[in-house]
Amino acid sequence: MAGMKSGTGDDLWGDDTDQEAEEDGRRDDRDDAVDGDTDSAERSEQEPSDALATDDGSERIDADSSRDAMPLVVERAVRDEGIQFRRDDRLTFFVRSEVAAGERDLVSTLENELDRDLPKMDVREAAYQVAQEQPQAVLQKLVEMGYEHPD
Amino acid sequence: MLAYSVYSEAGGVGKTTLTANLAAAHGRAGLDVLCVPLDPQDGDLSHLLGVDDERADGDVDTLVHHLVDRGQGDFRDLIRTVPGEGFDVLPEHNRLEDLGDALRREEDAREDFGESFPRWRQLQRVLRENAVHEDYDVLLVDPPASSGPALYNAIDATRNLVLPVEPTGKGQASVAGLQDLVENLESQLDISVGVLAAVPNRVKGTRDQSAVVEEIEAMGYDVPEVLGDRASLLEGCWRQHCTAYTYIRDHRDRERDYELETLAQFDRLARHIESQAGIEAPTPPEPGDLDHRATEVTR
Repeated sequence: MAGMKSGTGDDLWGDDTDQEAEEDGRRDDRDDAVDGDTDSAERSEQEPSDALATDDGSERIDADSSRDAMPLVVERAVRDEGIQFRRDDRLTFFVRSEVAAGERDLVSTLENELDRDLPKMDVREAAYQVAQEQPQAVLQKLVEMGYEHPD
Repeated sequence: MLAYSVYSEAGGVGKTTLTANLAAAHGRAGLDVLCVPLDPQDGDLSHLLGVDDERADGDVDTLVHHLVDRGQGDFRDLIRTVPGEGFDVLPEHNRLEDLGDALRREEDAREDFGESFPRWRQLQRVLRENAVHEDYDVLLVDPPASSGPALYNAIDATRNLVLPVEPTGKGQASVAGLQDLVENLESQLDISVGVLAAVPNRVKGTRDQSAVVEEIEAMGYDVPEVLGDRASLLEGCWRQHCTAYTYIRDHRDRERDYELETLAQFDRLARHIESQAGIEAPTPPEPGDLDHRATEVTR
């Protein structure tokens, strides 16, 4: 069932927690109006710290000990930060419904591949980076959309 | 600590009286309860319980001061124990009307210095800084019906909802509208919100009742109790500034079975909500048992 679930939500105030987990200094909630996600049927993501606890190996996507910086997801989990950690820019774009559906499929596929839940913001950012690395592929899509190549 | 917001998009569904009576129900079972109402208006929780004497005093310390990190005193000093009811309230102050502006101004001021100020997480911060979860077993927040900074703070600080619902088309539309709102908030804030119970209120007949219960249960939510129309009882509560428990015990000349049954419903609702959160009240009464006195909260 899509939407807020029956039962309890996050447990902020459990007896054994003194979580500062929810405090995210970089959160940008400037807007009063909450941007409507086109696929708001998606369930919310796991806390990154939960993810680290249940998947000790898979966080270290690039476990190269010679790297100075930790991978984003690992650092986020270690610092107990939220999904907007290090993400200071917001892009809002409107999509056709098939694209929203395609995103759900993409997330699903990747979750099966990695055998864990994935925050869709991470998937989106990764997908967009792939697009930026492959401008020709993006061009092809624009042509399919109806743009004409000057050649 | 169990924390939940009692929320309805529609006004006039009995949200405030439900909050007060749930607080009393949890309290009389031996739990330490704090209500934080955020809905400054004539018919608000603070007025119902007669603790709004300072609402218009421009000089006193208020929750709003603490939410923008300008508390004028000890947070604990804001809290009042409601006499004879067995729970505590942080009374509403008229400053809450300008909460949105106050939060925005603080955000702007901090931004000049490169500091962040997440407007919707301040209630959680205030509660955490003052270790409210160490002294209370249950936190009830009563946000306004309109969506805005008070509601977002309430949801962020509690992560659970109890939804009074009107048994009309508008009632169901409200629940669906709330789902959209909460889903957006969940993804924006990366949080997870649960619904502990939906409570049809002011249901007049059995046909109304089964239709609305079916629709809500079809959405997947629990409907542990359906509250009937108790206008006379609730009007009495407003007049005497008390909960239904106190009104029936102290102000009714005779006990009416259907009203005692309403008290029993509040008791059972409270037990259901507690069990959802895995909390066990120390001294739960027989539902509706008026002789089971409210326990005074001591600090």
